[in-house]
This record gives sequence, C-alpha cells and structure tokens, in this order.
Amino acid sequence: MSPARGTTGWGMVLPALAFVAFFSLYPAIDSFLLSLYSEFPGPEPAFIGFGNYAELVQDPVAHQAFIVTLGFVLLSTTLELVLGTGLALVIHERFMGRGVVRAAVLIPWAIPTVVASQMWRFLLNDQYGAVNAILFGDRVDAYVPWLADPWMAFGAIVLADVWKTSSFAGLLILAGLQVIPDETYDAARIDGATAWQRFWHITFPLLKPALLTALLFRTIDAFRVFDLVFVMTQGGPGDATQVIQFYGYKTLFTEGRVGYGTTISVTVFVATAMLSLFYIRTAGSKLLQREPA
Amino acid sequence: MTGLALRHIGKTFGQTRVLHDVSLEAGDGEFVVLLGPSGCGKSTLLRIIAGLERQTGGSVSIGGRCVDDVPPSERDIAMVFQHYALYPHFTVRENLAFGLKIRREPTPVIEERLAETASLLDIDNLLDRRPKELSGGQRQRVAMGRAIVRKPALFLFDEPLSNLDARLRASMRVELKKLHRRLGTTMVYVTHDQAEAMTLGHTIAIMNHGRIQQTGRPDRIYQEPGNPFVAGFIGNPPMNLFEGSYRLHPRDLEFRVGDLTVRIPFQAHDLVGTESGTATLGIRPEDVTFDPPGPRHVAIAGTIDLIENLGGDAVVYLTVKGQSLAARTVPGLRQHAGESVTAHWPMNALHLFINEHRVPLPSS
Amino acid sequence: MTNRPALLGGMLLAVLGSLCPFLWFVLTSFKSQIQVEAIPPTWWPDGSLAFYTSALVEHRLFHYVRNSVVVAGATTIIVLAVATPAAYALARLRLPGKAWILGGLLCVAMFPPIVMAGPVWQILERLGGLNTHWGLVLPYVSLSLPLAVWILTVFFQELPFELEEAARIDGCTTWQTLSKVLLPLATPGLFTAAILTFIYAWNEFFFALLILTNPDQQTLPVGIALFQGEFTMPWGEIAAASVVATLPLIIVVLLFQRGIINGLSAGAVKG
Repeated sequence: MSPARGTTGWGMVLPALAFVAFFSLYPAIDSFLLSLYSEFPGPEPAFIGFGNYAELVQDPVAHQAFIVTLGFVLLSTTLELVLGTGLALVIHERFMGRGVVRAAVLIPWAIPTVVASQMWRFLLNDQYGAVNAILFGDRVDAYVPWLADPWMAFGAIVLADVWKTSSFAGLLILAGLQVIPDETYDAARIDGATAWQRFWHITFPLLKPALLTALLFRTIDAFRVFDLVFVMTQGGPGDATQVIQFYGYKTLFTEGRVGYGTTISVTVFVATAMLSLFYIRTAGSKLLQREPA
Repeated sequence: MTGLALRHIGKTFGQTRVLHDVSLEAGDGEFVVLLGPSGCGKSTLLRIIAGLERQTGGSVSIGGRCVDDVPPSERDIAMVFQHYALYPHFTVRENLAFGLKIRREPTPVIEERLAETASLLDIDNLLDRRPKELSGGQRQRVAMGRAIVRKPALFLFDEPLSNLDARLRASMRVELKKLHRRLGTTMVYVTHDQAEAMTLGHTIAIMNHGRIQQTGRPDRIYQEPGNPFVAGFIGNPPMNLFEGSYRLHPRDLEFRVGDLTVRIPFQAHDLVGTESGTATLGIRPEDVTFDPPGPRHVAIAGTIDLIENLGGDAVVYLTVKGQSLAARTVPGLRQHAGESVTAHWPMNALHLFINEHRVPLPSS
Repeated sequence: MTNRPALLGGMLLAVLGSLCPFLWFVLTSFKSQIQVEAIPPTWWPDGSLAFYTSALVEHRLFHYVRNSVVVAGATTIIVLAVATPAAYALARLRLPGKAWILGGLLCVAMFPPIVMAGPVWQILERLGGLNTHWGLVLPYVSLSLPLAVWILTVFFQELPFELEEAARIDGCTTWQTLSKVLLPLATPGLFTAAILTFIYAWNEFFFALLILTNPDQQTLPVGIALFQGEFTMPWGEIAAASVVATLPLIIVVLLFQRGIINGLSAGAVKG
C-alpha cells in the first residue's frame, strides 16, 4: 500500500504497544535489574550481581514454596484437564436446555476468585461449614477443621481452584471438539467402533492440540495462584500452602525486601517462560499444522 | 479516446513474479475479458487496474488519464466482486447509496440514481431487505447495482458469476450482455470460464503464467490460436495437440509423432528457421469426422476407447497409431467402444506450432 | 456419542457441581445471624435481609461496588478504544513484523503479575497513582489488552477482505472503513472483548490489593477479602457482599454465554 497507509497502521497499533511496553514489559525488565541489588546493609541498595539468586538457592522457605507451587500446579491442572474434558464432552452434545447447562458451567469461571475463596473457606469452616454438615450431619464432635491441617488445607486450595477453573479448561477443549467433523464419527460408527473406541481412537488424538493449549494456559495460570491462598489460608498452616507468588508478595510488600522479592518474582517468571517454551515446542508444531494457510 | 490502457505492467510479490510486461488496451465502450486458469495473474491485473494493488512496473491510464498515483475511489471505476462484498449490516438501499453518500452527493441525486438503477436491474422490491435475505441471483444483481449507481467510466468484474449455479449463470450472462449494450461503458471482466469469455467479450485477452498469451476477438482466437497454450485452453473438449518433430520438404512439411506421420502442403519455408526440429500439431475435436473422406483429407484408422453421449452431440475418444485423439460428432455412430474406425479431417483444419508460435498453413 | 443415561448423569453432575457451592453462599446471605452460627448448620434461610443492610450500612458495600464499577468500566472503555484500531491494523494492514507483535502480546499476557508488581508500584508512586482509581486502571489496561487485541484480531480476520476493498472503491478512508463498515460487523467481537475485560477488571485482586491501601478507593474483591468483624468473621455479610459482587457477572454470563465461549476459544486456540 501507499506509505500513508503504513503510517496509519502504526498509528493504530502504537497506543496498545505503548501501554504494554510501559506497564508490562518495562516493569518485567526493571524487576530483573532490581533483583541484582541488595537492600542490606542500606540505606542505598548495593549492586550484588546474582547474590540474591545465590541466597534463593539456599533458602529453605523458598524451596518449600516451590515444592508447594509445583504440587499445586501438577495436581490442579491434571484434575482440571480431566474434568474439563468431561465437561466439554457433555456441553458438546446437542440436547434440550444445552444453553442453560453451558451458562451454569460458566458461572464458577465468572465468579471473582476472592468470592470463590471466601465461599470455600466458609464451606470448609470447622463449625458452620456445609462440608462437615454433609459428611457428619449431627455428629458435631466429628467435625474436621479442614484448613487447620497442612494436607487438608493444601487439598482445599486445589479443590477451590479445580472448582473455579475446570470450566475454562472445558471451554478450550470444547473449541477443539467443535473442529472435529461429524463425518469422522459417522465413518468410525460404520467401521463398528464403540463409543469408548470412538473417544480413544478419534476424539482423543484429534483433541490433543486443544488439550495442550488448555494445559499451557492452566499451568501458567496455576503458577501465579495468589488470591486463593491469600484469602483461604494466608499460606498456612505453617508454610503448608505458601505458594511462590504469595512468598514473593510477602517478601516484597510486607517485608519490603525489594531485591530479594524481585529475585523470587523473576524466578517465577523464568520458570513459567521455560515451561511455556517447552509446551510450545512440543505442541507448537502440531498447532501450526492445524492452521489452514 | 481509449477507455483503458495498460502499459508494460509488472508485479512481484516478494520473490514471486506474478505479472510480466502486460500491455492491453480497451477502447471506449469495449467489453474486454481477461481469461486464464487460476493463478495466471488475471485477478491481480484487475486489482491493479482498480488500484487495490500497486504495480511494480508500468502504468495504468483510465480515460486517457494516468492513474498510477490515484487511489481506487478516485479512479472513476466500480468493481463487482466474486463474493459480492455486499455490506451485510446495510439494506439493499443503503448498500447502493453508500458510495454516493461517502462522496457527499446531494440526497436528490442519490434518490434519483437509486430509482434508476433499481428499475434497470428489477430490484425495486428488494430495497429494504438485507443481503442475507436475498437469493444468490438477487445478491448478484445488487452487487451490480452498487457498481452501476455510481456511473463510473470503467466497470471491473472479478469472476462475478462463479458463485451461481449453472442455470443462473447462463441467464445472468445474457443479462450482463444486455446491460452492457444499454450502458455502453467500458468493462473489464475476469473469468476462467471460456463460455463466459466467448459470449461476453468483444476482446479476449488470454493469460497464463503472468503473461498475456494472445489478445483478439473471440472467433479469431478460436480459429487462429497463437500458441499451443491458447489452442489447448479454448474449445471444449480441448484441441488435440501432438508434440512431435517436423522436417521440411520442398513443397510440404512432414510431421511425425511416434508411428503417426502427416504430410502437410507447406509454402512458408521462410517463417521456419531450420530444416527440422520439434513442433506441435493440433486438430480440434469438432474437425475430426467419421463420414466418408472428402478431398484433401487426412484419413487414419484407429480404435474407439470410449464414447460420451452428451445428447446433442457425442465425444469419441480413440487411439490412432498409439496417440489418443478426441472427436466431437453427432450421436449415432455405428461403431462401439473397442471397435475400429477411420477418422479423418480436412488438411486446412490443422494447426501447426513451431517454437511455441503459430505457423500459418495454406487455407485451402 | 449417544449414551443418553451417561450424558444425563454427566450433565446433572456438571450443573450441580458448578452451582451448589455458590448456592449455599446465596442461602447463607439470606439467613439470620443465629442461623449462620447454628451447629450443625441449618439449610434453609428464613429470608432475612439483615446481612444485606448490615453489609451496606456497616461495611460500606455500596461504596466498594461504586469503586469497582468505576475501575472496571474505565478499564473496559480504554481497552476497547486502544485495542480496536490495533487489532484492525494487525488483522488487515500490511505492517512489517506483525506476527512478532501478536506473538509478543501473547507472551506478555503470560507474565506472572508478581514480576511486574514491584516496578509498577514504583512507577505509580512516582506518578502519584497509588490509592487512585486511574493508578489501578493503567496496569489493568495493559494486562487485559493482549487478550482483547487477540479476540478482535481474530474477528477482523474472519470478515471478508472484499468488503474493505468495496469500501475503498466506494471512497472510504482507512478510518471510515473501520468505523462504517467493519466495526458494525465486528460488534459481537467488541462485545466479547468488552465482557471479558470487564470481568477481568471486576475480579482482579492482586494489583488492587497492592495499589489501593486506603479503604476509600478499594474495589469489591479487596473489600470482600479484607472484611473483618469485631470478634468473629462476619460470614453473613461476606456472603451478602459476594452475592452482590457476583450477580452482575452471572447476568452477563447468562445473556452472553455464546459470545464468551467463542471469545475465549478465539483468544486461546488460535493463539
């Protein structure tokens, strides 16, 4: 096109790029720079190179936080993909009132995470909670203080996350289901495949790209879990549910240790980036092949 | 005055050269058809005329004015798109009026043009509908209406009938021809359908691999194709083309392909550079007959492979001396598939191409 | 797959599992203080609105709602205004390196918020944006832009190219083509992008917690997370506030579920 159109084009993109550069890209880079300084002994931060990273490698609380985060990511994404696939298969079917079912399934996704967290915190409350009431009824002395037990509390944040975001995973998988042509199933039926065989030999392989996308999105999101932990457990009991983003938040904003806090955040960033790259390298080729031109 | 003149148009997309030195003229009021297989560059050429693409070399003038630096909206053109490109959120009336409104034509003028166009195309009763409430043929009319209402100096059509079914396509073809007669405006029409090209065009420009292969009146192109590509592209079923070798003799030319040898009376020795070489010989299926041979006919015995009976006529596929040959004839041939038959054709119906160029043969 | 009983069972499970936990919270919000503190819990509320009045009067619920409306509304408007032209240019105009821009936006969308938190806080401190609504809107716009640009780009790409060429021949400038021809057709896409942005900004907690420390400016999620009673957790008021915070979203989801589903898959699957 003529040069005038080119300038118009850049003019149209520029505001968006400026926003992203100023409030996302620059802060991320700045975080990395800040992580090279120490606030000890003060008052001016001193350049210490990768000293903070060396400290992080030695920090047992950080180790614990990484393990908790990893466990949380693995467990919640696995459950979400399984449940999400189930949800997608259900919503994909044509039946009366499908719209209502779709909307119902979307509601947990739309609910603010803070609300969902308070809700589960109350559901799991040791005295007034519905979970105890359903499990033990009138036997009040059997009531369990779920969030006071390290393992149970960890289970609780996984449960809350799975409840809230399985439907999102389901939607991504649904999009994958919708591109599988009906004819494929008809052909398989004529070949005599049972419902399970059709799922395993046709749906599942064709769904792989969508599953990988869902996995990617969910993993990255699970890595930055914060609201659930802040509201439900504050990282406790002990450090049982202290995920890395919460630890970073505490270091940065409660303790005010900018250098060490940004070191944690940059490490989270690098971990998610590597994970994304890994997924994209394994899944990317397939995703690209699917693209029509 | 010329309606349109293209001079040495070239176009490259990145490394790919899609148009090579294309020159073409259309007189005022002329109907020019750009015909060619898909990917030959005909649509790109049309879009360059419209100003939607910029050529990498050469120049375009419309109505005697060079428009190379003129945006599409000021080239005094209108275009009918392959998929109609009607604005789905506008009614038919709004679709027709949009171009005039953008140009800030006064409302009475818009109203008048609208009424005129609607009655010309017989779409008066559709004005308040939206495109999705229209049938394919109706959309086609509205798309043409949108072009007509602007009263441009030049109409551009990009395969406008290719989305219609065969029956509708034939009737729209007739209407388009009538429309051109009434409007008398210069039109450039892109298609890959030779029937459309033959029936609509005053002039056909046949394109292949980004070059114009031949330009001329439809009957001339049919009768005297300038090269083997044009010969094979125009005509249905396509011309039988044999690629073989020739040798010049004092009075005639000997053409040979496999076991098949044809001696053709020949005088234009000075047009052929060398005594012998490769050549392509063509014969149209409609020139091959099975009647008793007349004078100056070539007669060859062959075997019938297949007969396609099309109702009005029949296409016979046969093998003669190891070469396949198609013949178009009236139905009711006595012989059947697998049987032998003598095929023949008048000597003056042959087409000879040497070095990709037509070499004239004595006409009778 | 036409295994009806299994389908029916799965459907029922999905609906009940999705709705019941929240329904319990809704029921709680209509209970009385005595009912909430009953052990074992009572199921059916006596229909008291006491918690709503208490949330409104004592916990300034209305004030949080207003802050959230301002922040989420402003974010949505700015994101649409910025993302629409960008998406159009990326979908349609010839820009060198636009694949890189789109890919880069997707990468930025994956940044963990904490990696930006510290510097964003410092920028806002310097600009005087801490404890202001605009100070929160700025990072929100930046964080929700990538998804909005993706959704809209996909939408614009699906509109036929010929329409724009027709508009150009009809004499439209680039901006006219966008505003008169493409935007009306992209309304579903705009709607989806607007809804997703609004939901994001309405629900966001992390940045809101950092930037708004003064209760006067705090948004609903911060308010709900930090609700404190004098002696015990005010569960009834939390439930009431939660219902208020969630109700608009539920209405939006019920009305626009199709658009949301398409938008989410456009942003994700084509990414």
